[in-house]
Amino acid sequence: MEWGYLIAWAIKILSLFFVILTGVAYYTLAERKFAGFIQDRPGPNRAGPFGIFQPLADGIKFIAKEEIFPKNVSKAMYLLAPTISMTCAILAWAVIPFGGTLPAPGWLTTMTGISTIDLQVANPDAGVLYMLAVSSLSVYGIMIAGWASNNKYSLLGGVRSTAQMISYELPMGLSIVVIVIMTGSLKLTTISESQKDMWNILSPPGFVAFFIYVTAMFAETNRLPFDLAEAESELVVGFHTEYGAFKFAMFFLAEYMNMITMACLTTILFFGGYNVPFGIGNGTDYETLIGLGFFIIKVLFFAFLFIWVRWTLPRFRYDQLMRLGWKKMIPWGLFAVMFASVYTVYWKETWVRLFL
Amino acid sequence: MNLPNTPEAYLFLFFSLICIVSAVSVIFQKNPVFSAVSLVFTFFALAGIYGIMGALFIATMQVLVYAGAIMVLVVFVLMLLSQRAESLSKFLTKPLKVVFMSVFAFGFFFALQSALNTGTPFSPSESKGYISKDSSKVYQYPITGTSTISTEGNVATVGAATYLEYVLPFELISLLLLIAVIGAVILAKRKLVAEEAKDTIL
Repeated sequence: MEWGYLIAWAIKILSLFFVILTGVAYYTLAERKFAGFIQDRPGPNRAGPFGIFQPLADGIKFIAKEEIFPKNVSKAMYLLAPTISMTCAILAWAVIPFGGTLPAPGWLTTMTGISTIDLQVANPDAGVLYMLAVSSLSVYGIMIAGWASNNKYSLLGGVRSTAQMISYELPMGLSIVVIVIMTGSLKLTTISESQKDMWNILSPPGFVAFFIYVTAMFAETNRLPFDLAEAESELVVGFHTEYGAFKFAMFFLAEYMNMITMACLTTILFFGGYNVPFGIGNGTDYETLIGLGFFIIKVLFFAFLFIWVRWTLPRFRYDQLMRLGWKKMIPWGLFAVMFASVYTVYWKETWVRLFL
Repeated sequence: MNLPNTPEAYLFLFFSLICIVSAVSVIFQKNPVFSAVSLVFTFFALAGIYGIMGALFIATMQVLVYAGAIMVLVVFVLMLLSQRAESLSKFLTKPLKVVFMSVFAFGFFFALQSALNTGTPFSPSESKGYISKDSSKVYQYPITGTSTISTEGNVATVGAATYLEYVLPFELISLLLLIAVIGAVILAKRKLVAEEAKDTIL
């Protein structure tokens, strides 16, 4: 029985890992394709039809390249930095609920003795806090990379990125607190299920919190319009200037993985998670699979939003970034928290009745 | 050593080994940044130990607050300051000091060990702030539960203990933090009046 559980968990974790890595690889291709579309050029189209083998080619290129260690780096830290980035990016996936419960196929039941599969690896009591904790750790990767490279561009990129991520964690936390107040739970599955009748985005405080969250989301993942850690025109490429080959690939994958994580979290917190609007497929055998499909569609939309914004908006200046973070986002976040408290106590029942 | 043959025991051995090795590394690293990063690993191992005990909320907060917020600032400051490699040799030049410190350290750990083995830090029947497993959904005040921290009620338990039983110390700590913030602002603020006065003299 114990071993059965262990095998089932290993299968679940490995299959999730495989799906994520493939998804991230094709997300990079999607980014380049949409960039091509927005800039009116074809994008990668040599490897296979429409360039669909491009991620594979990129992967082979990254692995086959020579591993170079610059002369003045402190070697242990230099190697530790991409490892931390990648680990934190993967860790966050442990608590994301992708859907409800599926009945296990017959061969799995005979092999391991389990009869249902939750589409989630772990479901801790404080899932939201876990997400926040892991995302706050990913700053170490960037900071240590900037310091260990022993390069002025890298250090500047690392320092900028650290200050930016610390500043924008506060509004992000506040906007998540809004959802936690409205739901009354820190558990991600409870937050998802509480949005069965009405998505959080449709409630007034959730609507305010959503815009704070999305802005902080772009800053946390170091994407345009807040990609001051990289800022090609000023800092070469910032914190990973000295990194090449597979070490660079790890930073690259971690960045795209973080973006998908953030898209998942947006979906769960504000857009109903795996709930299906208008009760499509309610009570049928395929209810969980339809929910999973809707979850993936919502996540793909937010993943697309990242690409869309990146190739549309120009970069912020550093003082503008800090002013926005501390003088606009945090007061609005505090306002949203108070608004959510008042709403939950006095208006929530009336408001929810509008959607029933 | 008579550890029970359970996964928890092996996990505890694993985490405590990491904890001790990284804690020793904090002291003996020559580079301050390496020390700080070792301290982060210590916090992680501590979070793992909290997790084994079932206090998942405390484990998360350990990572979120200590590793995620406080140590980020410490490492940040260390990286910005110009730093040089420290060496242990200047402590080793005074043998008397080394002997004295060793005796002190030995005595301290002996006292700690004997206290842990003989004393009872608190008896479970009098413990506060935990709820019993059978009534994990409902929090009752005053707390009458006994044995373990339930996995379901972690957040509710900590919240209730903070805001009901220990509300006065909690508010006092927040006041203390406010005083510290105001003090930091005043210390960091440039003295505009003094500069203007200097200008008039010049």
